[in-house]
Amino acid sequence: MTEEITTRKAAWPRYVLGGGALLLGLIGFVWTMVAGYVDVKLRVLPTQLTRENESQFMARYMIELERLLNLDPSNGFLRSVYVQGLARQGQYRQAVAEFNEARKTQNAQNSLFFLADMYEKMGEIDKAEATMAECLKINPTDRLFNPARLRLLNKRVLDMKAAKKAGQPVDAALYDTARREYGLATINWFIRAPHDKNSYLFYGNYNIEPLYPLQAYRSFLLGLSQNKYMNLNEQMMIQPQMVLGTIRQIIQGRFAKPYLNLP
Amino acid sequence: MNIEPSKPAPSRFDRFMGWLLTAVVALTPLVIVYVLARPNLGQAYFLQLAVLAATACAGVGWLAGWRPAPRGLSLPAWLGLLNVLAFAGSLSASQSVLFSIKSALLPLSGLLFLGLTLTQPDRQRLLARYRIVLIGLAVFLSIYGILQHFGFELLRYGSQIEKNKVIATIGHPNYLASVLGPVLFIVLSVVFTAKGWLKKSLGLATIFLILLCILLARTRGVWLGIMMGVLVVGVVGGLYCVRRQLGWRWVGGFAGGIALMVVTISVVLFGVLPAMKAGIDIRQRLVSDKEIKSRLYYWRAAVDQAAAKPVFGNGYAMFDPMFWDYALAHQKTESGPYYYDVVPSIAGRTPGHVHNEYLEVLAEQGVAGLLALAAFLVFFLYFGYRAIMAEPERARALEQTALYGAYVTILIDALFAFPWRLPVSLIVFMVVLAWLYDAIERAETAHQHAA
Repeated sequence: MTEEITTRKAAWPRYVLGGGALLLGLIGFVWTMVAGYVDVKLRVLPTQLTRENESQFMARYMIELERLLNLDPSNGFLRSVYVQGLARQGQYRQAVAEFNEARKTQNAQNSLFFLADMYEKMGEIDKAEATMAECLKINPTDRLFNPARLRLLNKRVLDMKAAKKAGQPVDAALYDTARREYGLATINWFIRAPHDKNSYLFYGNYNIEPLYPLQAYRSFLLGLSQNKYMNLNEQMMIQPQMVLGTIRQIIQGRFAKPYLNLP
Repeated sequence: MNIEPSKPAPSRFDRFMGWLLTAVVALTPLVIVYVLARPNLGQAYFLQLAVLAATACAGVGWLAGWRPAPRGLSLPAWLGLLNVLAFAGSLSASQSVLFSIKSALLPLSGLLFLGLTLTQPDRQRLLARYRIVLIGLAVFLSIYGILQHFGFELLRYGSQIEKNKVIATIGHPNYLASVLGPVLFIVLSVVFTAKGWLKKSLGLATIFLILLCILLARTRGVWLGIMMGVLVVGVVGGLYCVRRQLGWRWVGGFAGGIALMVVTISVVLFGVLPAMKAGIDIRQRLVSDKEIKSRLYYWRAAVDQAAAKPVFGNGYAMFDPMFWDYALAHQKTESGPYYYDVVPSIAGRTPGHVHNEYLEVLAEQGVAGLLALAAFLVFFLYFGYRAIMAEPERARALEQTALYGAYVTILIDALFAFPWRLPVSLIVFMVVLAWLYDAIERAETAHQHAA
């Protein structure tokens, strides 16, 4: 009897260790298999789905992404891809919610640019502008983000001008603040990025009313002149007279879109 | 310190486990999954799957009685468990517990690999097999890396990887250097113990190949590790010779060995590389101030993150996702403008890791994690040295000294890289720890018998 108890006592560490190792090994193995499957599948998925119809492709793609997310919910990269799909489908609010979840494990430097874009598409311009300003703090020299913020600031000023013209009440102090903020930002970018044609256009827009029309004219001329009339491809040639005609329209109060080739 | 007695003869199951573990060491560096961005991702998955499968097999072996269970836990096992506890504590602060646990599967697999190796009855034969495999791999990786420098490429890497030329199958020059640096000392251990000049010459030729490959890889961090490793080998080996009264011939031999190492590096650096027109500007690599400043920024970020949650940290693997939020908050503070020029230079990517293992543990697992890690590492540092001094056999002592040098190299490399979060350098680290533990256990057993 004593021998049996001793033998059982000696055996229990073997069972605890063995059971623990088996459980740990199996759980870890299955989890790793699932994580690896999701990682690989995510990368080959676009090539596996047929693309005859874009909306059908997107629908099937999103279903597959949701399936993979259920398998590996902590995969931030996968969730980021899912968020981009939601944005393409126009589901902006859900995209923002999923995006904030994805950022807990996958947070890129340009994350805030996407968030600002989503806020703009949802019509929340103030939030978009504030988010873009934050984005620029860690992307100070980015050639996409700086003009994107200027576009938002300019949009705010233009919206206020349009409201004034339509006879709606606009707070004068708010309008001045918006113009000043736009002015400072556009001059800052104009100084820092003299090779960005958009910087001239933004600066021109700032100077157009009521300050320095000649300055505006000069800025638009520099910004719009792409030397395309020097191009040997006839279809891409723009004559100088056309540039001057556009500037005349701008000066007369029909504002140009102050950016070229931005997303 | 509870040290286990010697193991019984290996059963068929034990032999199977031995070959399984050897296969893990041999195959992990060769795994390439093309669809994944970098080779280390596929290698990490392979390592985790293989080791966890081996763990499950070991569990079956213990349950079925095919192998004896260890009687009690040794001190390093307790220290390892302490690290696991610190990790568990860090989960309380993690933004995503699942993500932290998933990310921890790799270092956990490393610890499991170490545990499985140490519980093998024929451990010493297994370690000798590991050594042969690692040296063979080092030769292959070095030759492949050198050929890559000349534009020869076996594998169809993606564009993200191709810009870093000397990468062998590891995928990045720094990762490759973290593997080859310690293996250099493993080769040195063979040079010390080999009988006959042919083996010694082959060993020295392998060391030359490894050094040439590391130089062509244009890495910096591992060099300090290698220098410290050489210094430690010289000093510890010299002290051993003095203590054992082996004579000035031996002391001179160590001094000469260090000098030979320095001369070899200098010849390669100032003779071989220019002759090969390798195009390496040493000064530019050493004083690349933007890279150095970006590293300092990561270190500063880790310290600041640790200060926010000092006890258990911010959660395992949370440094990277939290970095850009930290950078945004930091840029709004008074010291932010000082790092204004760093931000564009690290644009378009996340840091991945702190590039300093100790600071990363501090940021992610807090003071608790760092202390647990320090205790684990200091155990091997202190008792490893004692084991060398207590070793009566001269050849074995020299072998252990070389492996001690490998250990120091890894500890120093961890100041500038993240070798314990990459699969292949993690395996090399575990093999070195297993060697050291074996020597420590032998010394303790001999001491207990003598007592």
